[in-house]
Amino acid sequence: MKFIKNYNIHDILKFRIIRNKEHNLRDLINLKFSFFNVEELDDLDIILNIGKFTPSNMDCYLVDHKYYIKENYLYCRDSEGKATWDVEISGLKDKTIIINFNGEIKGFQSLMNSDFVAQNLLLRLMEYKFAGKQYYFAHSAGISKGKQAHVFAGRGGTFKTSLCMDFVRRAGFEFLGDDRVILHRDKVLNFPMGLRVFSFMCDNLPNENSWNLAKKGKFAKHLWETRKEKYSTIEISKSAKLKSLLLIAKTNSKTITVREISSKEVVDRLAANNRLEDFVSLGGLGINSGPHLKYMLAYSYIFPDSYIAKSQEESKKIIRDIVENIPIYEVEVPSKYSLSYFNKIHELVKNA
Amino acid sequence: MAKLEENYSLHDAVTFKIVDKPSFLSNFLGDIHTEYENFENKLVKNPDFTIDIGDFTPDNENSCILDNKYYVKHNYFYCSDSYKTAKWKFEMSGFENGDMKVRIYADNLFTSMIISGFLVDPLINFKLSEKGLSLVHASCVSKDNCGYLFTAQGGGGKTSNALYSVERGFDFLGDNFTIIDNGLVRSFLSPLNVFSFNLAPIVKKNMGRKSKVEYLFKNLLHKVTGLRVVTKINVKDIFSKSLVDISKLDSAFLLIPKNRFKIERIGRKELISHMVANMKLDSFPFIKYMMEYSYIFPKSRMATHWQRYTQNLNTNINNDISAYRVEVPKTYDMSTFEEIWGRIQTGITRK
Repeated sequence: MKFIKNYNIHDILKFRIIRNKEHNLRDLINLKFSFFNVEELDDLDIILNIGKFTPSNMDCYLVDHKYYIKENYLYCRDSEGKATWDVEISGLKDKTIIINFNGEIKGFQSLMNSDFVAQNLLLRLMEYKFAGKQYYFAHSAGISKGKQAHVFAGRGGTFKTSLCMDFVRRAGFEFLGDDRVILHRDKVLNFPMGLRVFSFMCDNLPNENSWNLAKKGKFAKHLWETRKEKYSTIEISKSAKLKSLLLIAKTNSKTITVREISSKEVVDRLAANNRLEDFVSLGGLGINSGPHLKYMLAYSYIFPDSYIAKSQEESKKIIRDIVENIPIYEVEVPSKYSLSYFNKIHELVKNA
Repeated sequence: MAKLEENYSLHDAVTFKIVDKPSFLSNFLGDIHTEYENFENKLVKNPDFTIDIGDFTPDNENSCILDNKYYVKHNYFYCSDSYKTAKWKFEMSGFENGDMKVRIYADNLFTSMIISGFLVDPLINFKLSEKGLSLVHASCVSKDNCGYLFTAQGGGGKTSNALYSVERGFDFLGDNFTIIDNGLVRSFLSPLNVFSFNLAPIVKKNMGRKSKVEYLFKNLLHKVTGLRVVTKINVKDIFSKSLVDISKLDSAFLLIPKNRFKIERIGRKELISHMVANMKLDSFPFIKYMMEYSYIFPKSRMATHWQRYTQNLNTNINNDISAYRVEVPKTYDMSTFEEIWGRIQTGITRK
């Protein structure tokens, strides 16, 4: 029996996830993309098949004993940390990219995170597809008020989520996304990933780092009780006009500093901000060497003139169009979240 | 054990110093000094960079912290990292202004074995680039001052082709890395990594008694325990008469494993774009640190390294190079060597 889930992101990008079985709790509660879940779908951009498959890796170039590559195609068997997986990507240049993925995770994480690696690869290829359509799938948070959006870009640990929580519940802002938003020229489209988690955090936690066992228990109960609903208690904005962009960096000094920076300076940094996502340790599985980046590099090694090989430069062009005429601030924040941090950012956003 | 301090020089273009405390096992597994012993040079005065190996407390106050892991400030990078069973701490500073200091702590013995490939080779690449030279992931042999470069990813046959050519009277410049400098190839003599499955006849024939005992023991170890341990052999102990420091770069063969032998001429530009991607793939995990630093400082030397690397290759590889793209079978046999060899021979007679 196949389990099929369809997702439609603002009619810009459509994808489908197909599983052989509904194998764990995480699948059942369907956290990550549930906001975009739809019944029927055609004109797919990406299909992700999860489960055993036989690779069509004949007539391939072999790179470093490991990556099987031919035009439009990549296969490899990979392992790192607690995970082992087989992945096959075909149709890289076609209308529909097909990902076949079969993975295993050792230890207790397998209970919750069995398709973490696949989801991450999916995000990577979504970014690639969005770029082909002239959209920047930014690793950034976004909030809006009166159709005016403010976007916070920053690496993990810069409290993007906590900021969003406080903007939504203290200052009456609408939510666009706390990890990803979609940008195109002066338009920001929402991408509320894991919305039910975010919504619960807004109602129950002072900030993103105040999870404890009791809260986790409460959350699990809440998820189970509302598993059939598209549940959210917060106001979500579908799209808004980009008003300002903040590039946030965490430091181990104690002060908050703000300086305005040029749009020129920020293009490279925004492109890099997305690329560094490849190195983020996935769900505590100990995968941090950047396997997805290696796939793209191995492909570029064989096909140096391909769009994949040039996609980094292409995405910079898209970003350039976005940041051209808006104020951009670089904000350095201390390593602990506090209300004074939120207040400072709130002031900055109000006056932008 | 006492601290071991050694200076190294790569053709006087890049010099560095390594300080560490070797353990009693590191001799057996091949420590970092073994990796660079052919570059030892007592005359080095002010090395371009210094690597201290051992535990340390990072100077990471007032840094930006990326993903709660990478510490970045101007001219400074630090992180604690891991890959499979290897775990290490890595700190570098002074790379933007020429006073480069590196500190590395290897958490276990396995980590000590991979430090050179993971961290030191990419550092050498960065420094060579700063000086306008190109470190390339390629083996090279030479005859009558004509250098033949074999560039490939792992499994492409860099070592095999080089050793095969030495058996047929060519001189040797390196089996994994070589340096290209203004139309010339300069040697990069790293130890050969010998396993039972890649023991070339020329190595087997000329291996010293000590190496042979070591190799046989490790081979036995593999059969009994399944544990595969490399035997490092210095090329100077095997064919010291077939080594040259420098040669003109004549031809380059880009070797890519596929199904069967196929060869075609390619342009210099195409060759270079493959070589850049090759080097990037070979620079993990260091390339990650470069990217983390570049996120904060996008105009720095570290951030512009790959641009410079590409420019240098464009300058250092002459227009008259003969470049070939060679598809080779996934498992080499003698006929593959003969085919490539044939191509080299025709090149020679044509001159």
